[in-house]
Amino acid sequence: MKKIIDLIRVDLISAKGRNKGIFFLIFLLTAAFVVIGIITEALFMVFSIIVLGVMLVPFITMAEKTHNAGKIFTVIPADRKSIVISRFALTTGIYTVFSIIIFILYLIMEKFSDFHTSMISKDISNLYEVSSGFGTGIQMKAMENSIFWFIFAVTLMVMAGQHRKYFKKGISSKNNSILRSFLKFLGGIALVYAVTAAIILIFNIDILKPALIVLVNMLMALAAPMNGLVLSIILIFIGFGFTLYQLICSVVDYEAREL
Amino acid sequence: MKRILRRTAALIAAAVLTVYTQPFSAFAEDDELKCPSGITVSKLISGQEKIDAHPTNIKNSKTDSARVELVFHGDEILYTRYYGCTNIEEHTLADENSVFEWGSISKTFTWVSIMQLWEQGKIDLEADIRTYLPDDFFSHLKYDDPITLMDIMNHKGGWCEKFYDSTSEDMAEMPSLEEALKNVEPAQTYRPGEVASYSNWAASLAGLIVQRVSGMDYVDYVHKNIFEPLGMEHTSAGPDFTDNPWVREQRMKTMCYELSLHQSYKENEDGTIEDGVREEYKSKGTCMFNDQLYPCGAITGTLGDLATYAQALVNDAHPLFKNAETQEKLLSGSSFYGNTDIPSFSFGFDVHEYNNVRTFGHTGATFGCVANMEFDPVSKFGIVGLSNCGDDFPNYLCSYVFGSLKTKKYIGENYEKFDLTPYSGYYSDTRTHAAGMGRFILYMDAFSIDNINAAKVADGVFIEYHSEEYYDDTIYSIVEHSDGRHGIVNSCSEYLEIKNYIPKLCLLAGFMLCGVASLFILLAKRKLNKAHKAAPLSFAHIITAGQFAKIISLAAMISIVAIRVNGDNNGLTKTEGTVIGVIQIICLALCGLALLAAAYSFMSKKKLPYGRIRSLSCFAGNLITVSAMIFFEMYNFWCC
Repeated sequence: MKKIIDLIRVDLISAKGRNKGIFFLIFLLTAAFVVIGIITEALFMVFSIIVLGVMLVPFITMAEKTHNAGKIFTVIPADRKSIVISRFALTTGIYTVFSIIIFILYLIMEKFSDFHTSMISKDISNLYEVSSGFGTGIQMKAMENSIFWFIFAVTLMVMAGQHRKYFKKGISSKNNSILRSFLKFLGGIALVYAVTAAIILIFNIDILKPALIVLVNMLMALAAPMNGLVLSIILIFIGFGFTLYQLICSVVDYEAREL
Repeated sequence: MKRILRRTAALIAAAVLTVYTQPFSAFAEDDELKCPSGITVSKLISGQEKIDAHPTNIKNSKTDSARVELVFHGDEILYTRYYGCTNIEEHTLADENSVFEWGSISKTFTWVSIMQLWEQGKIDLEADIRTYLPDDFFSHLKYDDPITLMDIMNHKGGWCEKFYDSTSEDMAEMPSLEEALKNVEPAQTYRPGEVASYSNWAASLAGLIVQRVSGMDYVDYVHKNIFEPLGMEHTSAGPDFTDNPWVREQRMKTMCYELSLHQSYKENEDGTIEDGVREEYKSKGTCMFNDQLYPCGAITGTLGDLATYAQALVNDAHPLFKNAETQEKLLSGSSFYGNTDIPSFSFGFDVHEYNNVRTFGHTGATFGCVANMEFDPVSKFGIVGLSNCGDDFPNYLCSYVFGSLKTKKYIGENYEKFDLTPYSGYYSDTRTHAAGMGRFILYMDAFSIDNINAAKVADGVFIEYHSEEYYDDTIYSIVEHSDGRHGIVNSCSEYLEIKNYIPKLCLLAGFMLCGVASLFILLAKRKLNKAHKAAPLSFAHIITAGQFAKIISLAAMISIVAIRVNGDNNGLTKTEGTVIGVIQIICLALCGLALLAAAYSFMSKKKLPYGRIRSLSCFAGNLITVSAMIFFEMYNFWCC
């Protein structure tokens, strides 16, 4: 454990000497979404955790590119498994703590939602009030909470994927700039959207309907109780479970890699 | 839907204009016959005729599905509308010879038959139905309590929704009603006489009782005692129409439709192109209702015959019964909301509360048709409607004739809030699978009542308050059952409390998570094996088999929902159910063995990296899976 804490310290120390411009870019983007969330719709704050999550791993690993700091791991007396674990622990820890803070802020802002110039939730709430009847649907609050933790889990999975790629293939100036990572993330969303549209177009929605209904039914049932707590816990579990899986794979890949 | 709403709005606007452009004739109106809504019959008819004559309606009628409606007063037919096509592709317009399936309105024929036999002294409504059935007819009864015909008529026999499909592709090979009922007998999950759970199966069982008590085939009985006395020559009660070839011939000409929305372009009259979401009638073919449990919904006939039947039920001459008291009893309410005199259900008939009137009747829906029958035995006004499009429910004339659906008359202007806090918790509709391998579905449909705005009607009786304009203020009453659970009753359905819902839902969620986690564990194992870094636990093969079993078990559970959705919720075939059940039993056994292996691995002194944590997580995963499979009866394909 001490070894891992020491390795985290190494990463934190080297982070101090890195490009302050990029640090401020991350800070500004996250802060911007927090402010937007405060003045408009609390749920918008979730974009700040996406920004931090997607940019954090490239920011830490960029030291290799800027200072050739990656070589340090070939000389310090630390096994590769500990290096992988420390890196995963550092990024996941920062991201999780930041997400919890944002979620608390989000809950506080939700309490004062009447003061908002609300753009989304009130319209949806009104629509919900009109369309819902006895025994139907889930509450808006549950839906919003679940959306927050869904985005948390997906971003965590993306981060784990970034780590695995780094430990498997190392860093390259072409692949690992922060902006490129963010654009790739947006590109990934666009790709998923395009592939989904293509599948629907080719296979006809009627064939996909049963699968979609099963998925939506299950999600709705899990999202309904306790303001979405059950579904949120499951999503968090899936996020961390996938991270653990990527951690194991990264250890194997990194140990097999020639440095 | 937009189109229907637009059309309805146009109809209402036209009707309002018609009413207000009539010459002032208040004195004459006083003597005129008025509908319960307050509108005079002459205004109703002239208004509807103007709507029918509107060019848009005439044009749309040639491209829309059929919706036929009729208003009557006593013996007199006041107004009939035949709108739309029974076959859009061939432009066949609906007319008096068009036949439609009446769906669950068929059940009322069973209830009328039961009441006929009751007044003849052949049936005791309070006797145990086992006296009218063969020995050992039931194989899934949970309670020894007697089940009475009253229970069945109030949908309180205690059976949950049947799990297996009872439709038949080949009508020639259809089993007898008795066999069909035995084949798909659902589990009895509620104590008889306590919980309301709408049951097609139980209604068909009542049909079998009619058959056995009368000594006649059910179809023959209905013909002889209902169709023939009323002169209903254009109606069939048999599942394959062999009792009326004319109806069969006409039914084959009727196509059924569903509305589908799609984005398309339309050229306007001025030549401009406009894009938008359009509605299209999608043909479902003849879409016959071929259920082996035919007493619950197989009656098919013309609008005229349905009107004849409804008229008989408001006729003081009681043509269907020997005694007027029997007819009165039929429409006097058999179950009531709390201690009030507001009936929730009346010997198998639905009850609706309008502003000025209380109506009785039933609705119906088959795979392709929808139907409505409503009448007021006091004013003798009634409406019947039929359609060959499931999305176009034929009740447009109800508000004209009966007024607005308003139960707010029971709560007044300054209503008192009904405190639901003592009943707080999670509830689920009783018309679902409460036993067997479909039991998990019950836990996926539950909801909390904490956010419901309830207004008090009486002790234990409330309505869900929306707004003054909200059209459906359904009445609910709270009941407490012998097992301590609360139920919220409306009509013949009930939302039943689920005790300890959250832990149960967590168990279900845990089962799903274990399935997903197993997939990643297997992938990680494969990676470690390839790198020769695997350090397997004791009985590794059994543990791996358990992980495969978790994934397969989850897939089997999902396939149940997928098959049901794909088959319009008809249920699974026996073969599908057996295959899934056997798979689940094998998975359960493998997970049980993996559980033991993980326990052994945890206790053994073999030194492995993270050995304790791995064994413990493996043990926990298998324990959750085994517990969930047992609790949700995922293996139980024989009693569901």
